[in-house]
Amino acid sequence: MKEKKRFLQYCLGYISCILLTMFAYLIANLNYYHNWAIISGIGLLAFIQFIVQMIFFLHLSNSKKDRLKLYIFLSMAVIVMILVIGSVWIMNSLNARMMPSPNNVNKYIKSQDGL
Amino acid sequence: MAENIDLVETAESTKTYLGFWIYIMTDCILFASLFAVYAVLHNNTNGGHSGQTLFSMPYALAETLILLTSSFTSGLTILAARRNNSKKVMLWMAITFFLGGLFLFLEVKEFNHLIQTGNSWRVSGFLSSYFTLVGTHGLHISIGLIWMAILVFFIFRNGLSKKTIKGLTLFNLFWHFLDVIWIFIFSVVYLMGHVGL
Repeated sequence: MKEKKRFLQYCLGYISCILLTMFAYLIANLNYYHNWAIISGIGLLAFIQFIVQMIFFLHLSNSKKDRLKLYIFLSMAVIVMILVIGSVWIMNSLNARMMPSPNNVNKYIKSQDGL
Repeated sequence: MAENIDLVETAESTKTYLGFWIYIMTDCILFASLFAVYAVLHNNTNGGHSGQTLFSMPYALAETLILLTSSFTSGLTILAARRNNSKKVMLWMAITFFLGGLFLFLEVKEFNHLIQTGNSWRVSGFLSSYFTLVGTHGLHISIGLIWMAILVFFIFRNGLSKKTIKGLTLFNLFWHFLDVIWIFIFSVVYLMGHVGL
């Protein structure tokens, strides 16, 4: 009985992952909406699929047996968030503050009426 | 039969399993830093192609579905091991190996195509970070394939013992993890690259 439940759990995880992948693929090929809407949609679907695989395939749960695994997972998630969001934030900010190219400087001077 | 369910359950509650889980979490951090590099560099195309013109979407989708299916069949291996059905274990392992090999073949073919058409990692920061990220994933897949071959050899020789079942559960964890990483490569590199991040 328990074995059958496990098998069904796997099938459910597999089918929902396929559906999520196909859905993300279809959304990426839409041209009607603004890019940011599509990109956040893809990001959201990836996140959902990540959670689905973590629960159905990697058997992450809040049961007493898996509690330690869950805590290690959560601390990893915090480090990953800091790493990725922090890098993107800092580097974009640096890019925005970079010295502009000579071409752009000339354009700027011209736009300021011969400074 | 009941004995083998116990073998799988004890294998999944050993310290080795927890240690391997910690290794996988640190591997996630390795991939996260590569993703951060890609996120920072993906616009630095140096006048060359961007992801929008470079990648073939149906090809990437095929790779994704193949890897997802191999992750699923790898999970079925564990279910067969719980039922002490070593023939089925071998069958699912063989299918997982075939799909994993097919995935690696498609990836190498894609890399080869990119390099042949003058888009190697030397061209731009974008391509360097792309090859590093996807190449590191491919390297993990190759290691997984070697590991799988060794496991199949030992199961063939010793049957489903305590040791081989332990190896199976660890390998299963590793293989699922590679598919989890691939979701993000597919979404961030291919799909968002196609839309034009």
